[in-house]
Amino acid sequence: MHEFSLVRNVIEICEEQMHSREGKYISQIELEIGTLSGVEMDAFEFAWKTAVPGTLLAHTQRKVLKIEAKAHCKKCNSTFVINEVFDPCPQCGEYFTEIVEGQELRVKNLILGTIAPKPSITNT
Amino acid sequence: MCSTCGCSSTDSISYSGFNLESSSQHHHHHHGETEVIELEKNILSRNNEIADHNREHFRSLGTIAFNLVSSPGSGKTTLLEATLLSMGPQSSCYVIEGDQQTNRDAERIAKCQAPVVQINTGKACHLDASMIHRALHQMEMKPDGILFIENVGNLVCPALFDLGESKRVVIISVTEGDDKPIKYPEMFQSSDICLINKIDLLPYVPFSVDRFKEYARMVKPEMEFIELSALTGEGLGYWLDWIKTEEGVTV
Repeated sequence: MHEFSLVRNVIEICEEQMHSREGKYISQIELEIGTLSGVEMDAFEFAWKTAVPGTLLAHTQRKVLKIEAKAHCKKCNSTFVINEVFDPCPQCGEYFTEIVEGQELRVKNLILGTIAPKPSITNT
Repeated sequence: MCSTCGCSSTDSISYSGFNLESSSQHHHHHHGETEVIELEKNILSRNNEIADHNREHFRSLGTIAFNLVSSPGSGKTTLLEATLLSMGPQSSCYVIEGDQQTNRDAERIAKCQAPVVQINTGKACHLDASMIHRALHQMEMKPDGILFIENVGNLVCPALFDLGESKRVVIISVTEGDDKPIKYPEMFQSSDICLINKIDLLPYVPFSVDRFKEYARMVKPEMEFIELSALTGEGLGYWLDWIKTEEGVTV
């Protein structure tokens, strides 16, 4: 369940960013997660729900951009989509391939909103 | 200033420089009331930074560090005991033990006369670079030593966490299924060498060494293998030779 650690890391990255941005909140976060990043999305979802309450991401809308995995064949130079780390090259059947995409684990962007000033309370 | 590795704190690293640099590279744009920060930041970047720090510490000391990963029960601790006893107390070997609970492994290693730090990860299923960093602060390592890091027994999570090791060693025992490499490909893909342990049990189990190697090469075509039994000592010499070769590479 390393997904919990990953969510903690996401929270830390956001805290760093928001440190110097008083009066702002994160309305949306976009993550890029490759299909071969080693992240189980169900576990990630569970970890997110467990870890974010009480943090600056508690009310943030989360978007996940899935990145399809691709490998490059070192023998015939073709680039192809893979579902597993060990998928062979469809052109020549070679296993000697290099994964070029699909292992991403990134915070792509944050969309910030401005915290509305609290209405002043007047004593009656 | 910490005397172990010269970093500025005793239990964590200051990353202010890193943060400043990364934030200055961000692309900002504003849409009316909203602001977009284009980060493109690796979620593991903090771990990787600390791992690089550990690696630099090892490099400056001439230490070679091995990260031993496997399922629980593959024989990592027994292998370490056999390795330390074979190398003798005069070899500068150090051990970091990772387990969720107990000091049992550290107590076993301590009997082999090697300095050892036990990390109990509690609920965490893997070691990360900052845990290693903290453990290093408890350990005074002499130059040109060998550090063995026994990760938490788990073929999934430790794969993602660089500890700053020189080489990652995955251990499989023949009492496990020979299709483990394709079931847990990230771990095999990220490892530099594969030890096949408990070969003394081969006559009694359906494990096929050839089939296992075939699966492992599907995941990592250049994978090296050493077959051994940590318990009987068979094949242990190949492992010790490999360590010596790796030491030669670092020097």
